[in-house]
Amino acid sequence: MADVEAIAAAALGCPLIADLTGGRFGEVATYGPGRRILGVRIVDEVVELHVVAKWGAPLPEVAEVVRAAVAPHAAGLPVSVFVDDIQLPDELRPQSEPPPALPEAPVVI
Amino acid sequence: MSQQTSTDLRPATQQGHALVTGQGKTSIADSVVEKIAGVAAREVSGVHEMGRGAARTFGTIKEKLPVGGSGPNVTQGVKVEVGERQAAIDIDLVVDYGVSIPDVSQSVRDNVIQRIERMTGLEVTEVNISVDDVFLGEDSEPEPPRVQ
Repeated sequence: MADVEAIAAAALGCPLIADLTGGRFGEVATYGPGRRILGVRIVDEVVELHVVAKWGAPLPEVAEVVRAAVAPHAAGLPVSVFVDDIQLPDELRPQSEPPPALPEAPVVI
Repeated sequence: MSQQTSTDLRPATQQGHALVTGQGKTSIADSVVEKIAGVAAREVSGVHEMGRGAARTFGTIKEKLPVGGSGPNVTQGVKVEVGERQAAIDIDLVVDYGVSIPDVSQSVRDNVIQRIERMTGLEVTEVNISVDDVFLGEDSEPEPPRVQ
């Protein structure tokens, strides 16, 4: 039996993976008792892994590395890696602080 | 003669980093290809901004919203179609005044193709570029209305 929790932990342990993601609607997850493991599910005997990659490395290589990292926990099932998003390089990432307030428009009466 | 070279500059598609393997397949979402294309196009000097008129206007308003304003959107002006092994890309550009538009668009095309083929292993079949505007420099204050 594939260990979903160990798969998620192994994937997050890869340096080229920024995060796991639940897909556009957050529905990709394994629903366990009392919690859910986002980004991993087993469909038709295939492990689906949805990841957010870090900027820089070629994505097929990233996928290969992740696949190798989670393979010991997948109980022989094939692992499909979905790169759902990519983290932008630092200089293009939106700043978290709010932009300065717009100057007040002069009131013309 | 050895087929192996230490500096292999071929795109990943030809190096055996197949996206479909026996141990499962690798899918790359459209939004990932859009982001890479957007960043690659913006890297080329002479590119001022991206997107069509309406998208640029709304994009500027959205950026300045105090709530939900998220800074520049790198995928603005980029449309992609991604298949299992190939991708086609459409790009809308605003160039700076004074540049050679054919040269800039060729550089954008080369950079986008190179980045996407390196980073995703997809083969880029075409990059269509449309130059929608020329940036003439920061406009001075708009003229005050003649009547109040």
